[in-house]
Amino acid sequence: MSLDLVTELFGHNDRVWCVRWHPSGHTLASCGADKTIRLWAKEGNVWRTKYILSDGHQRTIRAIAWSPTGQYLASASFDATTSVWHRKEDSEEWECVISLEGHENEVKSVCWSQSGKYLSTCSRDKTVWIWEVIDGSGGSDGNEEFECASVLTDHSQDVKRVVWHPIQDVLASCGYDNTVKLYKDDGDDWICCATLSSHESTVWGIAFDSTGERLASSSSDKTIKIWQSVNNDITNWKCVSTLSGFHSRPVYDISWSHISDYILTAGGDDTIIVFKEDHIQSCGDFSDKTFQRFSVVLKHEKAHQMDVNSVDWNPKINGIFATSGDDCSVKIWKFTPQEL
Amino acid sequence: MDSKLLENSNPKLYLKSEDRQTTTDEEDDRLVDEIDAREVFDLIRGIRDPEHPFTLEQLNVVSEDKCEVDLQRNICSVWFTPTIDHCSMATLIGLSIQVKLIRSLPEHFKIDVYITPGSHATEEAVNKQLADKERVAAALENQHLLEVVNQCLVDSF
Repeated sequence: MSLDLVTELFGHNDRVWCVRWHPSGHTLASCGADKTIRLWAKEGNVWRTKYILSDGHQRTIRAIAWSPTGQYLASASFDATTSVWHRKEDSEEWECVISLEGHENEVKSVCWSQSGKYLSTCSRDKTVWIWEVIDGSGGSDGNEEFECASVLTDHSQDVKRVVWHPIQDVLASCGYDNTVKLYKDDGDDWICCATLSSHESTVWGIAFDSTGERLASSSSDKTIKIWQSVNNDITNWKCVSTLSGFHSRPVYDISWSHISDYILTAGGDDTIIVFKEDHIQSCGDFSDKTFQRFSVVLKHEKAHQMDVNSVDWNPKINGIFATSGDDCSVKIWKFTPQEL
Repeated sequence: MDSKLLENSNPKLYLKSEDRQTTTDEEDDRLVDEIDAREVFDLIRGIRDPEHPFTLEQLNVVSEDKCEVDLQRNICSVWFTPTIDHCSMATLIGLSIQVKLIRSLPEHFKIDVYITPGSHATEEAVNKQLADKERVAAALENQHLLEVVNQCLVDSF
């Protein structure tokens, strides 16, 4: 196998907190402490800044998320607001169409549901908010309204991340109280339907596999855990694997490829690691999947000069992924599992 | 200042350590002068306590033997000892040490600041907060807090 650095993108002048691919796989968004969002795309053979979204936030932009159709980009900021951006018609320009307020302090993460019906945010104020996206005009033209559908107060500490299930309208969150929680709409209101406890410190990252039946979490306890839903019941999860001894500092982000099934992690040890499930012949006790084995297929130290904050597999192009770090840079990599 | 408002109104004071003796090797410009524990201690010994006109060294909050440098992994670790075991200033003191080192050491250095084991009632909670770089980053965007930290760092250079 091999790992090649496709390109290194400079432009941010402070720590880059988050990178996320557009659903088409052709544009990459990044954001950070310099309060800007940069959109990067290829021109000929060279990756360039296509557009800079600024003036949307007063403080650090901690996270960004694309809507499933790619027409909207949401940004979560330490200024306690979440902005929603929309691309102007027949133009390269993006404009902030709405600023969502309500959290008492720093917004840490934002995510769009796969159905496009919901947007979720979470904050240091210990709450998770679910916003319902109400289409005012019947088309994705920037006229959507956002109505708060629920404020969930199940976490006892700072909530670090929200991630939606890839198929159902089920939300997962994690944070400083060392737990992962899942929420569903029970017809009346959103409720917390599962709490996953096993990590011994802050949980920074969560990622579902393509089926949504498994979930991976990464933590300050330096481990990665794989959780399996029992009989595809989203209220019943068990930890089937703990990957420890691979990272030497907190694991800040995790991405589970829905194309290749590889798991990618990044951490405060400047290292990125690719894991793959071992396919052992299922027999006897192993067939019920109470225990799953994962192996490192690639470990790259010094992927960045400083902490790696974010990783994201390209959703369309197999083997391509992006990373960002405290060293102000964004990198695009190509991972090839086998030498051809 | 009304001494009744102070948490520890009569802290024990310790002698200031001698200045570092410059060795002949250090005067030789051809030799690489690696960052060591003494250098880290020299950077933080002059930080002021938030409630006293004394330095962290005078209050024995920091000492050279509780500074460590791992050049292999670029990690600088500091253990500090609050003057009393329920000191509410512990997080602020830890943050000041962290900010001073972030500003002074090469940027690829990873800085870990901990409370000396057994010296504080909420040791674990303070350590967790100091280790959370996201919360530290957010705290340092708070203008008021930054001013308080900078006040502790005045004269420490």
